[in-house]
Amino acid sequence: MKLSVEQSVISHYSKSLCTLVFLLGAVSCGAIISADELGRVNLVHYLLLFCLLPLIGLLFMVFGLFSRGASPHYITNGLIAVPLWPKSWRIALQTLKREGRLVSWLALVSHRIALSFSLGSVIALLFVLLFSDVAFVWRSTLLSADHIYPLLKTLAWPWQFYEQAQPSKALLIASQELRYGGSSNNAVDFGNWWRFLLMAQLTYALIPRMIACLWANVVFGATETDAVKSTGERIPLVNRMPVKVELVPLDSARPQFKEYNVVCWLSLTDEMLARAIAPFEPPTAIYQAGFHGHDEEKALGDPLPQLVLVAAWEPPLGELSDFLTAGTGVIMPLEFNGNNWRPIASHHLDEWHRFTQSHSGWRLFIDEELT
Amino acid sequence: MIPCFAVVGHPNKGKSSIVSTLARDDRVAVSMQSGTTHVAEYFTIEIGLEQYQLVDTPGFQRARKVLAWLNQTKPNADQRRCCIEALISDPQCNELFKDEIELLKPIMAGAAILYVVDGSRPYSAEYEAEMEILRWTGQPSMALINPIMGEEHVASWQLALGQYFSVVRVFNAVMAKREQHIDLLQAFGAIHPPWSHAITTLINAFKGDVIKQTVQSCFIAAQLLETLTTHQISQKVLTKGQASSLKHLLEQQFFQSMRQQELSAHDELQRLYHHHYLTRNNQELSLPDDLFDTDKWYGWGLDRKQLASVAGLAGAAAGGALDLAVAGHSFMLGAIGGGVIGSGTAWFGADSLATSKLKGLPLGGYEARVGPMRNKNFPYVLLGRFLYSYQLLHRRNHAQRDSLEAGELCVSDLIETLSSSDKRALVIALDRLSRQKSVKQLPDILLPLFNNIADMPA
Repeated sequence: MKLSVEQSVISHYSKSLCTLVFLLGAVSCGAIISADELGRVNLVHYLLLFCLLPLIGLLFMVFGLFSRGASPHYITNGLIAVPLWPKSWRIALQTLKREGRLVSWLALVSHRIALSFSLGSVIALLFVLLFSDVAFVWRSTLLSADHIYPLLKTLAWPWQFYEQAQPSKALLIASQELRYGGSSNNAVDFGNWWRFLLMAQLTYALIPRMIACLWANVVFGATETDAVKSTGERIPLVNRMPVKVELVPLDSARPQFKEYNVVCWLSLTDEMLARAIAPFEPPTAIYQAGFHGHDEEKALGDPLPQLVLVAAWEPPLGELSDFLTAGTGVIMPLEFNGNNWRPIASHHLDEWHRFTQSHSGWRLFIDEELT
Repeated sequence: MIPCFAVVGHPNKGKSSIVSTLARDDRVAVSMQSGTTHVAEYFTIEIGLEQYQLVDTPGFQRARKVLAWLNQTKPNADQRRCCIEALISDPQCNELFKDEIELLKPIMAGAAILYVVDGSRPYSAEYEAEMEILRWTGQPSMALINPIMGEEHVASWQLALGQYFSVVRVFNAVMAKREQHIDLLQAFGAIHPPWSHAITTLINAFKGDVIKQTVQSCFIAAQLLETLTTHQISQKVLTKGQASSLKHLLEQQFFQSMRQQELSAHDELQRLYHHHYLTRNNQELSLPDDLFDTDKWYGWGLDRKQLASVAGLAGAAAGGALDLAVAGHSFMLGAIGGGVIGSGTAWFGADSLATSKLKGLPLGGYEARVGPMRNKNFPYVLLGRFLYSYQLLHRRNHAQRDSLEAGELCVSDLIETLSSSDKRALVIALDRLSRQKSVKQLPDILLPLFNNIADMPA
């Protein structure tokens, strides 16, 4: 799919940001794990990085899920507010905000960043474990194994099925490094803590963030569809604008009938009817037809030419068209209000002009004296 | 079934106009020529998560004949709907009453009826056959009086329509305001109670959509202001003469680019309001012709100030290294001294650097430059022009088909209508923009002004 300029900019910068955070995760893990000359690293530091930090992140994530209104992605929001970023990115973010997609994008990028950090940490940990012998020991003046063990046991509850990754009180006591005499037990495998740390990272950081990332991706994708829909291509309709019909000039000469009938296709008072047909020779018959009259059949059976009086403002209907097919004559639209004649609006005139033109044997006559 | 309304009536009484306005879709063919709509066409209007359908239908052409056909067997009221179904399925009727069958099909499929008449023309018994046929369908119905040329005959129409329809509303498809849209949507809910919940949700979504359009307009305006107030075009050359010779070309490029960007923003605004086919008569953005300038540039394309800053930083870094080497016993004098020496040398030696060459390559030259616009009034002018289009589009219905005349609103007067805090924020923002400084949350600062204009009487 072709990306818009804004999407490319956003994608480019979020990837860069994720890479940066991935490196940060790897470096921070590496820095903590950089052991002393005896290969000892402080387990408490690791617990902070692999348990406490993901837990705080998880709490933020859960809070974000249930909070409504304001964007919960404070850190990412704060980060993008820093006046350090290039203009193109600010414009792209503004576009996202305008499209109402900023919140879902912030969610997505927050999860991606957190995931990158965790991945960086885990990879660094695995590398160090692979290429060096690490001894996890811990030191504390205030805390003892009795303080820490219940916490670790609680933390390890989600992976009870994995016995080897469960914390053991014996190992915890053994890993405590005492100031005066080093570790209390030299026969213990101090590296055994790595399984616990890895599971903590998987449980509290990697897996929830991956799920959140997938969900955020779906949500952001849906907002993208909405944005595309609102600016999407417009399908032409079935009913198109009508083709303009070339109208032949109107013959303004008054029609001269020797014998003819008047068909009154509109509701007209006797007085107005008399005024309308006064300039013509007296008709042989006057038929009241259309919706208000009952002489339609008689008029249809009469072979004389017809002067059909119609209401100029009403569009010509199929019923009149059906009536006209049987005869010949003149259509005369009338426009009036009460007892006063009024000029016919040009669009009404055009309408009747087009209609008459499509019926052979008929012509349109506009009586200028009646307008 | 989602709420569905078939817009029916006599030909050329504004049915398509009503569909166009309610669907906010200017693709709908609206013409003075009757018979423009020859097949029933469905429009799905999606607002938020809710949707409803409007069906644009052809006008009645042979209503009396259809009613006569239906009355052949003189059916009782309980059989009338079946008669309509028989009419639709009869092959001969399909030949004779094409338009009527086309308009009755969506109604018999469950659509509610919106019967449209022209309130500017007198009522006549001609319409009774149509209303009678619609009554036979037994579908929920409502009449809309569309006063195309005026409201002269609205009262008589109301009296007549009230006998056939439980709800009668006056709705001018071209001039109706948003409140009238909402009022009409509410009436839709009243004619068929099972749809009332969906219609209420639609009304809320519609209101939300109006707000969203205003907010998005602010974003477009903000982007336009930020882009055009900082826009400049430049070209680096070796001599001042070469730079001067570029004046005409660069000015043309600059003016064209500025005007094009403004037009694009206005196009975007038009698209935001779904006016895809609306033609606009633009007034060219006037720009002064004294924006050309030339300036020296030095190594790596930097100007004197930038060069001094870079050299100062480099000097400070070198001095800082010395400070580190002596473990801070120099009291940071190395960094301070290095910075001062570096920037001073760069500032005063820049001219000689400009004329120097490194392996035949020049280390400096001249830059021909047009823009940015530093005029204090420029952001006001830009905003005034944008606001004018916004005001027209915000009020414009989709049935209105004349072209849009571009113009300008006086922003200074409009600012006076704001609260003192909003006024202050906006004046500061526009001042910063005129000085090519970015403004945080510019769309939010513009919003009160846009809201005020939207609410202003026409």
